[in-house]
Amino acid sequence: MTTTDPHIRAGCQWCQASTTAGATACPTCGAPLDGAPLHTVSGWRASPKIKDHTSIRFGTGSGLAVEGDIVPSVELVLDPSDGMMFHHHRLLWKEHHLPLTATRTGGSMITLMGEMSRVMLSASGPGRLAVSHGQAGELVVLPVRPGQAIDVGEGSFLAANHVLGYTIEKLQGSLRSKLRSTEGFYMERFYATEWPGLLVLHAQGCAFERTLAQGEQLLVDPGAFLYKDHSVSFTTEKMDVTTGVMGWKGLFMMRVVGPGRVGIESGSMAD
Amino acid sequence: MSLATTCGWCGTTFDPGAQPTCPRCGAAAGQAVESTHGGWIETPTLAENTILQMGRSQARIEGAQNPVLFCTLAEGDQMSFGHRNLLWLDPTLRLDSVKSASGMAAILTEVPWRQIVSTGPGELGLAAGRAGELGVLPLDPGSVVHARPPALLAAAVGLGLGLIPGPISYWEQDDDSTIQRFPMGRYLVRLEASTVPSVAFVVARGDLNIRRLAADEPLLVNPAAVAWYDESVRWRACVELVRGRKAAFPMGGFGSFSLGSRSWTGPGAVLWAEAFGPGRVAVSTAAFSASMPTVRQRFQIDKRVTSEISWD
Repeated sequence: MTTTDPHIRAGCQWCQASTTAGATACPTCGAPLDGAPLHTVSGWRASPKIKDHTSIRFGTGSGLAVEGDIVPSVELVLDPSDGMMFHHHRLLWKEHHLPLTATRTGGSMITLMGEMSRVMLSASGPGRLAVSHGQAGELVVLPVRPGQAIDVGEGSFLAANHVLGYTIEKLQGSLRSKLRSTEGFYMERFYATEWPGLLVLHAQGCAFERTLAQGEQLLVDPGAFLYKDHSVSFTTEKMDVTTGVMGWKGLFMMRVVGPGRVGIESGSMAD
Repeated sequence: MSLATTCGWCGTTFDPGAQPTCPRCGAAAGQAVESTHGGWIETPTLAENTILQMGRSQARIEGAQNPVLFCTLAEGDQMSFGHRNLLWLDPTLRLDSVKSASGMAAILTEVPWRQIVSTGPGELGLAAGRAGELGVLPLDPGSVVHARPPALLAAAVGLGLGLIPGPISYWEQDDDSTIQRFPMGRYLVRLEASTVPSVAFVVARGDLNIRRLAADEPLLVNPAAVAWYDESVRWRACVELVRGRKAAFPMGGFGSFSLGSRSWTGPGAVLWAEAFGPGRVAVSTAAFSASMPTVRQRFQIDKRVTSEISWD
């Protein structure tokens, strides 16, 4: 049976979660349910524009609300058994009684060479707090299912709930390209083992996603890289094209190989 | 026949039949004041071509992400602004400037050395030159707000402008020097409506959210994100010690992130600005300045054993 009512559908077209009749936004990822996903001719699809005041459920009873349009903030309402992790420089406000704890994420090389913090903060409910990014852009909400892992480019992580595991991955062969472009030096990996989790990213500008088939390849500007499924492998390549004086060749690209999703952002391109 | 309505934001009564938006703050007639779970309200969404009435003068707002303020000043009416915010102006406008900061203050902060005062008749266009929500801040006679200098786009006639020191500070000390830091800014602009209702225009970095605090109600905010607040709000620096953890969250979480011998259990610190009501506090969703001393900086401080945090 088909329906013409845009508010009644079996699942969200962004995260495939089931939705209820009458809902205007997916309760799992916040994607509006009143429009079809936008695909470009080359197969990229725009991430859903999460509307102001959209609420998303996660954990055992917690929720987050997206507030604002230009630099959207995420207001978190944490249940007593839930927690959220984030980097300290994303904090906007919090309630007095909500304690923060810190976990060191790596050595000083991370902050020296990368743009990440050496410390991951976490807050455990009950209580409220808000986090935001410092740049104009949009939020990308990615539910992470058990067994799934997502690699995130530097500076894009905003918040994740505490059931997700977290590691920092050094990019292979990236030192050389780091020195010659604005590519990140490390990636943050979030993975779910037993419980489904929620990952919130901030894309500078607009975000697009493409799903690669097994063995399908694509060249992505390292500065535009936003996230990828762990199943997507990549190498950094120097392109055989002159980009400066005296025949200087300084164009580096990421060659990503499927299967899996690759996300890019439009507002953080390499010079 | 149309019925008068009262604006939910500024309390102005106006006729929506004659003008669909509040002539004082620009909120659309019937636009509900929605607050978040945390008690914050967003500034009213200003529609394209929103018109504000400022006595005999008018202001028109165009654009959402990079808004532009078009002012039509009547004979003798004035508008003051920093020269960096000026887009264009009519040759008929008379321009003067008044000293707004000492040379050192202008060098040390983002406060313009002189504030330009334009006198009508004529038109001019102003913009902040960055993405950010434009907030209209009506001020009744006797009301005073303190605003971050980069947030202030323009002030209409009747507003007294002055500089005040940032309300909180701390000392950063190393072997060679001691530096006083002002996480909410070295100087803030004090805006006072003296005898007539007036209006100031502020531009956030990102979106602008407002919290109304009851008397003595506390609030912890990132000091680098504060855009403006009522003078009745009191401030103090609040250092929150953050404990490190080795153990996992009950459901896994960091437990899967094995730190081993690199685990850090010593305290770090996050420096909050703690506000106490009564009054309003407006916070931008992107910081106006470099972030406050936080765990990361404290780490560097502790590791090098060169600095310590203290505060007034």
